[in-house]
Formats: sequence, C-alpha cells, structure tokens
Amino acid sequence: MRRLPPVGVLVSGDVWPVKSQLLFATYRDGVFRYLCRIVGQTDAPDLTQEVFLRVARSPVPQTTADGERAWVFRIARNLALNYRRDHGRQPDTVALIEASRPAAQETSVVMRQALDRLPPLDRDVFLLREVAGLTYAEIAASCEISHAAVRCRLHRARQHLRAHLQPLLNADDTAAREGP
Amino acid sequence: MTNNDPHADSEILSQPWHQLDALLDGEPVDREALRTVLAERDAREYLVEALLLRRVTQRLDPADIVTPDAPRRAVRPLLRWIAAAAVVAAGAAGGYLYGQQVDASPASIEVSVDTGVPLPAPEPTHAIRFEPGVNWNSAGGD
Repeated sequence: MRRLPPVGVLVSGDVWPVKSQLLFATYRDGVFRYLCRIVGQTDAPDLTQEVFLRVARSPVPQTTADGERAWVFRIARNLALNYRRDHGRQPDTVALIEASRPAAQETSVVMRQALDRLPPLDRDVFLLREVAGLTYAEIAASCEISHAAVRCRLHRARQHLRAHLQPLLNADDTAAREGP
Repeated sequence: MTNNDPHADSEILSQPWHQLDALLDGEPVDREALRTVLAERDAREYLVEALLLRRVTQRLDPADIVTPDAPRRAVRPLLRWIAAAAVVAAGAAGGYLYGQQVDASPASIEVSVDTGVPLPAPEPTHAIRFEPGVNWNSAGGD
C-alpha cells in the first residue's frame, strides 16, 4: 500500500520556496485524497508530488488563502484530467478486493462505480466539495465555472449518487444506529 | 473561461432545494426559503441522505480506494501497429547495413607471396601416362 510521503521526504533535496512548502504542508492531504478518488491510490502519491512540484516552480498568485487553495486544486484537477486522458478510462470492474477489509473495499468499489457514471465535471465538483472541502467560490475558481454552475452541478451529483447508492446509504445508516 | 450566465444563475439560485445544499455546505442561506423547503418531506429526506452520502464519502480511507491498476502506458491499437512496423523496419534496415559492411570488409585470410626466393616444384607422387588412341583422342572432346 502506498502512502503519501511525509513533508520532509518530498522536500529533501530540493530548495523549495518557503511559500511552496507551506502550501504543501497545508493542502497535501486534501490534494492526495482528491487525487485518490480520481486516479486511484496507486498513482495518487506520484501525482500529488507532481502537483506540488508545479506549485514550487510557479509563482504563487498574490491572493487570499481561499484563492491559493483554489489555485492548488486547479493544478491538481488539470493533472488529474491529463492523467485520465493519457491512461484512458479505467475499467469499472475491480478485482483487487483484499480479505482484510472487504466491507470498506466493497463500499469503495460501489462508490467508484457511481462516481464514474457522473459527468466528469459534476464528479470533480462533488469531490472538491466533499473530499477536499473547498467552498463554492473555490470550486468555481478551480473548475473555471460560475458559482451558480457549481451549485447546480453539486446538486445534480448528489441526486445521482443518492439514486445509485441508496442501498449503501441505508446499510450505513442501519450500521450506525446499531453501533460498533 | 467562466460560464457566467446571469439569467441562468438567478434561475438556478431560485430553486428551493439549493437552499439545502447551501445549508449542507456552510454557504449563506435564505432562512425563509429554507424554512419553506424543509416543510417538504422529500427535502428532509434529501438532507438526511446527503449527510449520509457525505459520511460515506469522507469516511472512506484512501487505502480502501481500490482501483484496478491501469496499464502504466495504455497503448492504443494504432500506436501498437506503428510500433510493430517501426521495429520491423529497423530490423530490416539494420540487417541491410550489416550485410553491406560484411561485403565491403576485406577477407579475413591474408595471403603473402614472397617472390624473392624461387621455390622448387615438389616431386610428383605418381605419374599417369596417356597413350594416343587408347585413352586419349585428339579429335574427340570426350
């Protein structure tokens, strides 16, 4: 299982601007989680590093913290789009269910299949909101769409996922009520 | 590029259900519109299920996100054919050039002739005699 390397591993050997290091420390987990859901956990660490290499090589825009986050995630999203374009659409069927955590991985498979059925932009908007925690304004800046389009696509994505994940949501709710 | 369409934007924002999304996402809400929409049973169900969806999405550890390892370099069929043709062409060109080099190279056996000292002819081991009319005929070609 590959994990995102700690800050020191990535930064060692490179002379990074302090600002870039700060952005890395602040946003690496969110970027990693977002990329995991787009490209999978195998390639997400490499792609995360690529995101922050680009951050380090680019002049950080003079903007607010929200603007910085939107900028970092725009880079992440563009790299993820390139990745998907270069590697083609990944097959839906998954044969990597390990015995150790079958329930969680089954959930992962169902979730991924439902996400794959979404239009790419709707999926990105949903993941940027729910996984990366971006605000509507940040998502709008990252995806280069309007604020209203964010709301519309987010609502549509939720409706789609509700419809496709109904059994999963019901099971999760039941399990939560029954306790650990 | 920003897809800004003020008319479409205002139409979208006037949808009561977007108040629920705004509430879920910590965005500003219109209290009256929210109160109205929450009076609907479907809206309350949407709110609950959107929260469940969030819980499922966020609780998923990256380690549990299984994705089939896509081929590191997914070669499209056309590219595969081009690559195969390039390999064949390179092989043919290489073979041709190698053949050219082999033909042009000098023979590996060196022959040196020393004409300074004449060597005597070796002694015959045995002699064959031909007798005209018996085993030799001057008119025939046989």
